[in-house]
Order: sequence, then structure tokens, then C-alpha cells
Amino acid sequence: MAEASKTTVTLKVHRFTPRAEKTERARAGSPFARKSSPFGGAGSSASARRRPRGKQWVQEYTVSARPEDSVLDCLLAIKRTIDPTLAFRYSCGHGMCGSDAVSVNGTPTLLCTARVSDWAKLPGSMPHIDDDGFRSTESGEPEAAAASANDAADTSDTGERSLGVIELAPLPGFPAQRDLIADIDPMLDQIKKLKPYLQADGVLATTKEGNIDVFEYLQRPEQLAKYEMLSNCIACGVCEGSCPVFAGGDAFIGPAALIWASRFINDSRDGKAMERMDAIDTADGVAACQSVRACSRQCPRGIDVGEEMWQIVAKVRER
Amino acid sequence: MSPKRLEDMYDAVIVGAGAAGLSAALGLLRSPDIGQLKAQGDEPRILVVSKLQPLRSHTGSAEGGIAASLGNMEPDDWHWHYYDTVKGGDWLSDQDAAKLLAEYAPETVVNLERSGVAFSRTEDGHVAQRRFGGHTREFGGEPVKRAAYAADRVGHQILHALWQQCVAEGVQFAEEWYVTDLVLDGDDTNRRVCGIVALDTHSGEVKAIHARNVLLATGGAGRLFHTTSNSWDLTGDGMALTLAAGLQLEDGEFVQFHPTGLAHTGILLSEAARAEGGVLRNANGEAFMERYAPGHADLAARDVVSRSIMAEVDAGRGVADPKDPQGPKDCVWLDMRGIDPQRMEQVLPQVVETIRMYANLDPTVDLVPIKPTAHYTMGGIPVTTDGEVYRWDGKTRTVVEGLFAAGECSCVSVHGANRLGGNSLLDACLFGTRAGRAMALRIGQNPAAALEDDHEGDTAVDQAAADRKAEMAELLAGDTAQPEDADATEHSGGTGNPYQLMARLGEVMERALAVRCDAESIGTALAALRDEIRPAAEALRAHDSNAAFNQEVTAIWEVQHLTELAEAVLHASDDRHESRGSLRRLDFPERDDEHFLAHSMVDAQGTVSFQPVVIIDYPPMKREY
Repeated sequence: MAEASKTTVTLKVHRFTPRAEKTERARAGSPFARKSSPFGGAGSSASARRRPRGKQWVQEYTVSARPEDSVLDCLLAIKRTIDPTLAFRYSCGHGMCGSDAVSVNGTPTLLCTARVSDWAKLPGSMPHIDDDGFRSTESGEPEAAAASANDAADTSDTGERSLGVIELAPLPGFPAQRDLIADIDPMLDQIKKLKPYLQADGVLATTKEGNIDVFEYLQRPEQLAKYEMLSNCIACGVCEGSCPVFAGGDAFIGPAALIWASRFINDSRDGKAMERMDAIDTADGVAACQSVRACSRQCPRGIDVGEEMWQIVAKVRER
Repeated sequence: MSPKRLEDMYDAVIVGAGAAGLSAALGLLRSPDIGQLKAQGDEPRILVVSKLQPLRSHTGSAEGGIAASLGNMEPDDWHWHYYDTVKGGDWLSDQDAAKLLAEYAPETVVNLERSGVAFSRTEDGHVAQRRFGGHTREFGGEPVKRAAYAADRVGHQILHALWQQCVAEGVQFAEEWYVTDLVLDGDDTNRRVCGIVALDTHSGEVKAIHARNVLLATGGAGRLFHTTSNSWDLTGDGMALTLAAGLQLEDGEFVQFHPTGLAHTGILLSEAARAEGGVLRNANGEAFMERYAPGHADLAARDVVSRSIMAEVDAGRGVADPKDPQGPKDCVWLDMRGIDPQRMEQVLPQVVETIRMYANLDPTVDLVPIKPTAHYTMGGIPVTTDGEVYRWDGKTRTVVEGLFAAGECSCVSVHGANRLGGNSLLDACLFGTRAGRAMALRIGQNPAAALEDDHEGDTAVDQAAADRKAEMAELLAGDTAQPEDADATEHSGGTGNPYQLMARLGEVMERALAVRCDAESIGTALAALRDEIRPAAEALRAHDSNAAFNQEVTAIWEVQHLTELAEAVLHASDDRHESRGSLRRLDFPERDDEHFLAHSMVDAQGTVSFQPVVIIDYPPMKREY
């Protein structure tokens, strides 16, 4: 019976170990020091593309896996049984914490929501990746995956069937730190620059004799609906890694920071909408968005990032 | 994000950046004491040290709600909330703390809303509230709508709003730093905090951090068990640090198992699945809950349902996880086929998505395997209602000067022997804020900026850091019995694997303590820890010598922390000869108020003493729903 036979998957992991540079750490010459840029975040400057020095290689691991397993399951099995030195971020394991965004077959997505059956490709159907880590521009979408559980190839001697190969690399657009770990601080810096917090009267409630002296700000359900979806962003960086402008290294504050700005612009409780729109009406702000809409495809929270960007661009122009 | 350079002395260091840690930072910075200090031109020196980037904290996974008697949907009264909390805790809650929890809950929720949380709303714009198990009106009457919610993502909303406010306040973070030591000086009668030692996982450097106040907010310890709803990072670090520093844990034997974890993944399926008509069935297809809880059936209290499931499994009526058909028959079925498919999509979207994504099953036609999953540690680091950590000597509490704790890692004892849904986020935010204010009071009286460098503890922190550095070097040197090979790419041989050992520890603890236990199961686990796990944990070495982002080093320390904690939890369970709340002793099936209406206090040596429960308003009664 097909169910009884074991299946495997091969993970082809782009690994990187930084060179220990103890004496240089404090100096500006360190590959880890962020460079100042006229556009703010390092992600928008040449340093994002600057490769830290160290050892790079591609390593293949073959592990037992069921088609319905997540890629994270496979990596954890590798840590437990083959190689405890393989480094990647992970935490909640079910798509809420946002820590495990990587490039899967060239497409940014979360390890814990990527299923083996959706991404494993039988050898021969892999896009070619050259020595510098560039892939050809063909589609990296999951539907292009040639392999499924049914047409998996037999591996002759063991009797185990291979579901195919999955290629993993750190999230594009951000400097690699070790193996699949990328430095996403540039994204968080850009989010922080746009005052990502509610700005209202700032009064807080206190309790006296069991009663509070101030109540919640009122907000009707239809007012909530204007920004609720945007507030679900988990800042994983998938949209940023997908954006050819951002990941390409051009000066762009990035889709995540704009989604966060839009979240507050559309919140009826916030009193700084005009100032917020001024802050993103810049060359590296909304003007840098090319409406490619690659940012929408893999958002793990289902936000149509491209459409939201379009909306905020229109709103900024109309003000 | 890491600080460019460390201060010689911090006013406060907060360890952990979930709801409790961030609430403490805000409580501190928004306090009048700090306001005054700032007005005088003194900036308080505060650092939040966290193992994860703050937005990755496990607070973000909380789904259901945060309880407060706002009365936005129907009349409610904080006294009712107070009573429900005590009853839910099987009368092991300290009533002074539970009273504060209920009385200040409305303030806490309103201030979260005013900090930006996108709560769901009533038609007229107020924060919407829903029913939650155990929350009633008029002291145990009809269910009441008390849990404020934000769709099924209230934890995410709260975590993000708190982080956003910390950004507004300019809080400094040391992210992805793993704390390895809590450093105290003094003796049993007069202890005080000196600081912490932490590993900057980015550079691989060990740092000595001197502080006049330290707050631990490191979350729970679900990873003690194989099947848990907790993230991979909930390894009980703060609790283990406290034990290692010579202090105690309170009520460590009380661990809540949520009845419906998705089989072996442990991922939570919300209680709403049963509220909407889902039914639990055993291997024979019998809807067994009616037999255990007549009248309540599948909607009985969490601990009751979990115990019933385990009883069915123990009686040989369990089923195997279909993903592991040859594995143990340790699950039962959740049958959701009776729910109208359209309604299921509408009201249980997260449940349906989780089942499809992680079990590859369709709940409208398939039975779903479920298993109780380790969910919440009621016990933890003993604290006063102002978050001060203390030591219990059998008669009195002695506060450790400058040491605080808040959130799931702490035990102010509002949850007693069993936590009510909606009370965990409330505990973390409310008592986190209080602890922050208590630290602010101390800082206002004695700011570090105004101090001469006369801190005697300096040498203690530096010594601890030096020791840790030496240990790190030893770990990185690898297994010295084998020839060094920097280019080795295969790591199957040689020394043990911390990830494997963590899994093994989880199996041992699950067999011993999950849902039910007895003297024999506890003894077996203690022996396994002593003879197998502890020696293996101490022999662990890293398989790569590069210190930067060396996750294996952190994992080695995590498994050592878990081992330390597991022993304490087993000893505490062993000494409680009764069944209460989440603790089910098969050999002591009844509650025993005469001997055990008391908190267990266990230390690293396994010595257990008991501290009486604070009872003010509600004398113990039989707990029935």
C-alpha cells in the first residue's frame, strides 16, 4: 500500500557562516555594522546587497517526511537527527509569530506554513541557481512545483520514495547573518521611523473605589473594519523580500512600514493622519512603489498588500 | 536591535518582552516617579533583554480574550469576577491578589484600548465582550460576557500595541540575548539583586549587565512536555534562573492541560469548537463526556475534560494520530461533522484552517485527532502583589531587594490550582504594570545616575560572567575526545544532541505528569532525570566552534534549564498528597483542605515547604460547575 511506504524530501540549504572578526567589531569596517544612508534604513542602501564575509556553501539533507509536513518540521528533524548546527529562526510553529520567513524555491514565505507537498520539486524541474545565488527569472510559485505525493520518484536501494527537492535560502533583501537567519532590523527601523503607535489624547484610566475615571475611545465596527486587517500584520518581512524594488536594493521604505503607516492613518482614534501622510509622501516612500504587487502573494495573514499600497498611494495624492 | 554599549549600571533590566515585560516597562516609564526624575533632567537607564525579537513573543498566540467586568454587553460586577477566579483556582488563589486582579481589570483593559489595541466593538462603539468558561454572574450563576476580544487574535493585538507604546517611549532593547545567570548577593536574611549575565546571540559574546532592579518576565514552561501549545522558546528560563540563584518556585505542580490540542502537534483548537457543537468520541465512537460530566458533557471545565480524555486512553479506548498510525493510541476524536459546514467556516475560521493546514483533514467530513496539550503554568516565581520576589522560610516572606517577576513565569497566585480563560493576559498586563511602578518607586528614591560607583555586587556579576565565558569556550571546543575538524559537515556522531535530549525530556515528563500522576510515575521520572537526562545534559557540547548565531549553545542551556525545572516540578508534585485543580493524584484522589490548603515552595535541592493560602472573603467550598 502506498501509505505504508516511507517518503523522503531533500532540502538544499544555502548556508553561511560569518567569519569571526572579534577585533573589528567596534569599527565601521565591520560587515555587521549598519551604514548610514540618506534614505534611512540600511535595507535601502548598498549595504543590503553587500555580502558579509564568511564561508558560503550549499548543503543537501535528505530526511523522512510526509507530504503534509511543513518545511519547518523537516528542518527541526534535521536539527534533531542530522545536524544541530543548522541555524534558522522559528518560534510558535503555526504562522503567528512571524519569525521564520525565508526564501523557499526563491519565493519568500514562512517555513511553518510551507507544506512539503506544495514546494517539493522532482530533480530536473529546479530553476538554475548560479554560484552567486541568483536564480533565473522563471516562476517560483508553488503551483509550478512538478512533484506531488503521487508521482514521487523511487530511490532504488532503500525503497523510500523521494518527494523531491526544496531549496532554502535566507530572506531576500536583507543581509544574511548565519545560514537561514537574515538581519531584518532594517525593516523594523523603517517601521519605527514612521511613529508606529496610536497618537490620541494620551489620557489613561485610573481606578477609584472600584470604578474607572476614563472609558475606552469609542469606535464603531465599520470604523474598525477600515484598518483591522492591516493591524494583523506580523512583521515577518515576506512582502519586503518579495518586492523587487525593496529586495532589489533601491531606496524604498518598504511595504511593511507603509502598511503600518496606513494602519494608523485609517484608525479613527488617531489624530495625526495628515502628518503621517506627509511622512510617507517622499521619494523613498509611496513614490517608490512600482505597483508590482508581488508583495500580496505570500502574505501569511492574507493582507492584499499590493491593493492596500494602491489605496494609501491614492489617499496620499488626494489629501 | 542591540545596545551600542552597555551602561555601567542600569536602574532596571527587564528580562522578556511579552505582555508582562512590556507592561512593566510602560508601567515604569509612565509612573509619576519617573516623570519627576525626567523633569529634573535625569533619564532612567532601562534595558529590556529578550531571547526573541519582541514581536515574536508567545503573547501573540493568545486567541480568546482578556477578562474584565466592563459590563459593556450586560451587567457585570468585579466582585463576581473575583469570586469566579478563586473558585476556578479551586480555592488555592491568594485572595488579596485575586481581588486586585478583578478590581483593576477594567482599568487594565481600557488602558490597553487607549494604547491602540484594535478590540472588536459593539454597535455603539464600546469594547465587545464574549462568554468564557467559568465566568459567571452573581457568584456562580449564569454565564456572563466578560472576555474582551479582538476577533480571535487578542494576544497579537495586545503584544503589538504594547511594543508600539514602548517605541513611543524610546525603550532600549537587547534583542536575541539569552540570559544565562541571575546574580544575587547577601544571605538568607538579606538578599539583593546585582544584575544578570546574558549571551548576545548575534556576536556570541557573554555580557555582564549590572542593575539595581531586575524583573523576570520570561513566560511559561510548556516545553517541559512533548505535547504543548507553547512555542519552542517556552523553556522556563526565568524559573530555572531563580532556582539556580538559590530561590524557590511556588505551586510548580500545577500545569494546565488544554483538552483539545491537535494530536501530536499540540497546536490549540479553541474551546469554541465544542461550544459550536463538536463532540469528543473514543475509539468505539462513543460520545464519552456525558458519562464523566452529566449535564455539562463536552463543555465541562478544562481540567475535567482533559482528565476524562486521559481516562479513556488509559482504559484502552484511545486512537492513534493518523499521521503516526503505528504510534501510541493516546488521542481521542473531535467530531465536528454535526456542525453545518457553512457555519463552521464562518464562526471557526482559525480552527478549520489549523486542522486543514496541520492535520491535512477536513473537519466537515473527517474525525479530528485531539490530545490534551500542556498550556499554562499556574505556578512560578513567588511574588508579592507588587511583583517583588521573596523567599519563604517556613514562617515569613523575605523579599529579595530589587528582584521582581511578572506574567506566566511568576506566581502572585491569582490562578491557584487552575486558571480561568481570559485571566492570563490580564495577570500579565496588570501585575506587569504594578511591578513596573514598584520598580519606578525604588528608582525615584535612588536613581543610578546619581550614584557613585560603589556597588559591591559588581564583582559578583563580573565573576558570574567570567565563569559563563569559560563554560561557553568549553562548549564551543566541542567533544575533545574527537579530532577537531572545522569543516565537518556531518554531525550525527560524537556528543549528544540538545534538540534530541529536549524531546526525550518532554516524553519522560509527559508520561509522568500529563493530566494525572501518582507516586510511582513521579519516582520513575525522577530516576530517569537523575540517571539519564541530567548526565546527558551536562555532557552536551556544541558541534560548531563559531560563537555567532550558534543556536546549539542556547539549546544546550535551555535543556539544562528545563532539567533543573523538571526536577523541582516533580518534587513539588510528589509532596502534594491530594488532588486539586489541574493536579490529579491517582493515589490521592480527594482535595485535602486540612493539610494542603497551602502553596508548595520548592527549591533546587527538591526541599518542599508549604505556605498558607491568603483567604479574605471566600472560604473554601466544593468546586462544581
